[in-house]
Amino acid sequence: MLKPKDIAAWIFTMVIMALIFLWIGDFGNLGYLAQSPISAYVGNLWRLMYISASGVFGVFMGSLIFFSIRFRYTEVQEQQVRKADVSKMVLPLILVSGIGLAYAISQYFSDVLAYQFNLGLLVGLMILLFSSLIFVIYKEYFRD
Amino acid sequence: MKAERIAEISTIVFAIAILVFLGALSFQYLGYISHGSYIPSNETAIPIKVIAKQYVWEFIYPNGTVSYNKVVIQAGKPYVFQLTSADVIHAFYIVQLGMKMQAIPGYTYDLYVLVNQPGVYNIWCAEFCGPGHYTMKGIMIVTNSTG
Repeated sequence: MLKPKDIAAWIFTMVIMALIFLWIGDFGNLGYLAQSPISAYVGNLWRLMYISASGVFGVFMGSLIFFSIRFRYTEVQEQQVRKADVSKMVLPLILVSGIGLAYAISQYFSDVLAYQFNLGLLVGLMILLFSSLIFVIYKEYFRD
Repeated sequence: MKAERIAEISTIVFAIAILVFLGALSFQYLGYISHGSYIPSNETAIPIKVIAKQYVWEFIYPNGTVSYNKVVIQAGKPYVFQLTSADVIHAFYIVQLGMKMQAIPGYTYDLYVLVNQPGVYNIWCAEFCGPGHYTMKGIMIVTNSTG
């Protein structure tokens, strides 16, 4: 059964399709016609016919698109809307940020050049961050 | 009556109304074009004979001058193209006017033309008339009425 929101979406789709149809055909204007009574008659008839046709196109194409999407086949029935588990990302991000900040501060108080150590530390932090993202995505999208 | 039934009937009625309106308007406009009703009553259309032949348009002016594939008229003046064919069926199509009329051997049809905008307009044969059909092109030159 269609809800009021669905009907609004249906009408919106039809209107958009009609507008696209009109836009493609320059709203029924034949720019190449010369200034002549004959071309005025022809132009008027074409414009009227094109605008009428845009209504027909809008109804049929809009309905086709709307019903195709609204009643599409789905394997899984309606799922409950779940919030993204942001807390799973917050802790690793605070941890990574804290270590990064501590590392940056330590650079001001240390004269020891330890290139390999620094590189290893940064790679470790990146892996930690990457794994926390994987964890959140897995928990969100691969839940039973 | 159910809403679906009302929607169905209104769709049919609406479609019929649009088609009848467009049909009536087309009939009226075609009458204006065919009989030259849009030409002011105090003006007389200048006749130009148009004879279609494979694969050329022959224009004969009132003074007897003949030209091929080119006709020159004045802007703002009414003309009537008396259209016929010397061999097979052709169609006299002035592209920028959006109007065409068939040229049939043994018959003469009148096409009233009044162009307000000077320029060069294309004339095509819009009815397949033989292997050279695509070469059957002409031009209509509309000159300024003061020129």
